[in-house]
Amino acid sequence: MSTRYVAIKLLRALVTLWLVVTFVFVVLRLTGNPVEALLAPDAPPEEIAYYTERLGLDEPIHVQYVLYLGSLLTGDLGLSFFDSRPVQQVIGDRIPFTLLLASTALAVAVVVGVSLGIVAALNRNRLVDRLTMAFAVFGFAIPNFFFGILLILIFSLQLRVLPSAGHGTVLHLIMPAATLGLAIAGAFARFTRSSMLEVLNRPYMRAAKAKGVPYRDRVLKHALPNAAIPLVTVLGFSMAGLLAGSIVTETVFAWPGLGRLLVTSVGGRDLAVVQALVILFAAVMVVVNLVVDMLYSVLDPRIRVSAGGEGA
Amino acid sequence: MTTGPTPLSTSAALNPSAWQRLARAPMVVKIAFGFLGLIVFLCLFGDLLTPHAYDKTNLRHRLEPPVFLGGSWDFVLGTDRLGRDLFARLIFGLRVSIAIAILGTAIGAVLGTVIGFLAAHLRGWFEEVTMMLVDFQASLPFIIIALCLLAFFGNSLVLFIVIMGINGWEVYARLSRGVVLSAKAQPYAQAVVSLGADPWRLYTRHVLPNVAGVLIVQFTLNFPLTILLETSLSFLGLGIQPPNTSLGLILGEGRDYLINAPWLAVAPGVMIFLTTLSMSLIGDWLRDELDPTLKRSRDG
Repeated sequence: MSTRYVAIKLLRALVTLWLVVTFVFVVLRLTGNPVEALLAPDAPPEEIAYYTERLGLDEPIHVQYVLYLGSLLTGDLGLSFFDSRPVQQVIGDRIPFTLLLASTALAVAVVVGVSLGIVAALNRNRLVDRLTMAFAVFGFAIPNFFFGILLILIFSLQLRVLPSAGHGTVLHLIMPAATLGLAIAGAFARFTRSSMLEVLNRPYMRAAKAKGVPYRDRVLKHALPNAAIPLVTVLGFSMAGLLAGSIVTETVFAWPGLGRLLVTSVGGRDLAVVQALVILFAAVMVVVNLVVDMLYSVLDPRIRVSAGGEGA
Repeated sequence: MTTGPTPLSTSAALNPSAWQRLARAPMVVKIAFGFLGLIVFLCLFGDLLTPHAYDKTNLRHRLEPPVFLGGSWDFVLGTDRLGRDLFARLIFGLRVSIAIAILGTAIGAVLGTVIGFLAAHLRGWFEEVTMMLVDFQASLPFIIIALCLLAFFGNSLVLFIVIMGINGWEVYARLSRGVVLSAKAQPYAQAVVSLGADPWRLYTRHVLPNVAGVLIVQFTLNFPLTILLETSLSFLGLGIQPPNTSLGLILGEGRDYLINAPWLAVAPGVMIFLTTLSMSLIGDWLRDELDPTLKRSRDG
């Protein structure tokens, strides 16, 4: 991988991150005095004065900006006014829950989606193919808050086999993970199918057949690895889906993760937490996109040559 | 779409055979069009179908079941916790959701298209900044930006609609910049310019009709996304605020009554799902029909 390619990608990632951080800074200043917004509405004047000075808000705007960047870099994100704890602690408590939920959802979605996509491609235009594509469209169009509620109605209230809310056991994880993973599974099924169809017609597949490679090995060892390369991009935008989906899904199932924290913080206007979460989500997205780009060009050398490719 | 003397425009290509094309469309697309017709009908005339007002409380008839679950014909789809008629509320919520989605998608389409045209025309730093902002917005799930704005500024209907508009602009900006850049290089555009047309005339009279098809397809693809964003935020209680209501808010309120009155959540959910589903099906179909070059490699 050429260093130039890496450098450009890295620079772009940093610019995006800088834009997000600046966006938050500008928008928060547009609302008036951020201290009044960041502190409780009934905060005493001396507290407001203390934070105004501490955050350097009596300084000119460009000095404020530098101070703000500095505090982000040192990880000092302010206090949550709900429980007066440092924001990084409040967020840190929630991270494991979101990691657990999102990774489970992603793993299930990849396994289910890729398998369905392969089966659909091998049975093109037959019933199983149609059903898989219907599943993909269904997964895309159904709002995840509604799908989650349907699951609760069926499995918690009718069949009484799964808990409708909370956390702690594997049973608690099943419905949130299914809700969060549904749309991603659909996307993987769709892209795996079209990617497999493309690969199955390649000359090397005919060569493998002529050579007498068994059907199973042709599909799994010759076609799948090549078809899997474009799926790396799907992995990239799946992360966006996971982040956005976790906001709604965690609220539906009362799952104590970052998404639910964001919703309650927005509802309660706990701006220090909102600000930190937005920057954290953006950082995750930027890193994921960077990794996906790198991975893609490692897996497929052609990308490096013509870096303008649109992907799948 | 107006018919004009624009021989190359997609509207002209579509019009003579629009019905034939529709007749050849897959069954699901026809059903989707049918359902969309029903939605339009309900939006326009739905309130004539029920004697109840959407906000009329009736505490003696709280949480009544729909007629097919043993309720009475007085409240066809049942009532909510305050005895308000669910059917009337659905009609009202549908109107609000559809109106906001149309408004939001339209704002995004116009804003993005204008910026995209400007970027392609002016080039230079304007284009650089535009593309940087496009990349920025595309790199973050929009619901996070929306939540951030709602938290900082506090919720208001105007802000909410503006947010719906900002949601889609970047797709239009990227798309229209791309098509304008390639259209400008076409012989017909160069011919018009050499005949003395100013840029305004070139873009509005010649380039826009030629790229309208692409932009219209994008509208139908963005519309369901806007509905999903609106209903998600309203469902979370961070969008449309009572006493106003939308499909997402009705569903969010119904969530608290899943045990006793599941229809309160299921009915608006089905409405949202079928609306977004039929719009996506129509959008996909239109894209394949109007512009075969954009066709996703769904058939390999």
